[in-house]
Amino acid sequence: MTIELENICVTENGREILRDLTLDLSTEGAYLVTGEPGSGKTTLLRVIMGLRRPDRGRIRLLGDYKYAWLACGAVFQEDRLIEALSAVRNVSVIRKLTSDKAAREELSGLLPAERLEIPVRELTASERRMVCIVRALSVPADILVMDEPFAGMSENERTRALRYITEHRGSTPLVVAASDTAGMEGFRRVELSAAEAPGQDR
Amino acid sequence: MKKKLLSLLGVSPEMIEMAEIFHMPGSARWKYIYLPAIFGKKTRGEKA
Repeated sequence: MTIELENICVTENGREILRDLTLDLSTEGAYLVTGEPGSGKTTLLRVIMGLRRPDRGRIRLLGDYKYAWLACGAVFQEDRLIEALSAVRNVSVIRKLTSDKAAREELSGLLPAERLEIPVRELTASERRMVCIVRALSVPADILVMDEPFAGMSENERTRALRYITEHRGSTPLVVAASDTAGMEGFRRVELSAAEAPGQDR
Repeated sequence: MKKKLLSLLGVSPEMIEMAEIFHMPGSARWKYIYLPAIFGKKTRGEKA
């Protein structure tokens, strides 16, 4: 399957965030979206996920059959975890077919056993990002979209998380937005530049 | 429309998006996200 973005334009509050962006995201590809803050990285990911409709341009899903919608495995810019639940439950509740046992097994690849059953609000920032990564990879997805998935991680944690993603994504296309690009040399780069003065990521 | 209504009732738009993106089962959405946000109740299993 190929996801084709054609001449995408997004404007917010009179400011052009994305201008005539054309991009083909193909199966098995790993893409790294980089750019200074305010260059539209998060906006691009939201367009891909279908959370933001572009003001101009179109998105086409090309494949063996007609896709009505895209199934995404997502790591959002914010964690968006259910704070009162444990890491295991955060992964298992999003899908009926995922048991606590399966979630525990997946999570144990990135987190120590004693951190799996306590509410996620008691976890460190990097542990929470690990939970987000495992959650994204635990659902059947046409595409994986990750917005700053390694935020707050040490170099060692980042290396482990990146290895986990690479091993578990299979042939699912992956789009990662990151300002720190270390360890992602094999990714195809999509460089965005801010149309106007840099500001916060949108 | 449903999204707007849930937001008005106090459910975080970000969590609504998360549930939609992951196609989370309806029962789990209500139990763990919508109802606790609307009624301010603690989720089952959470310590007081």
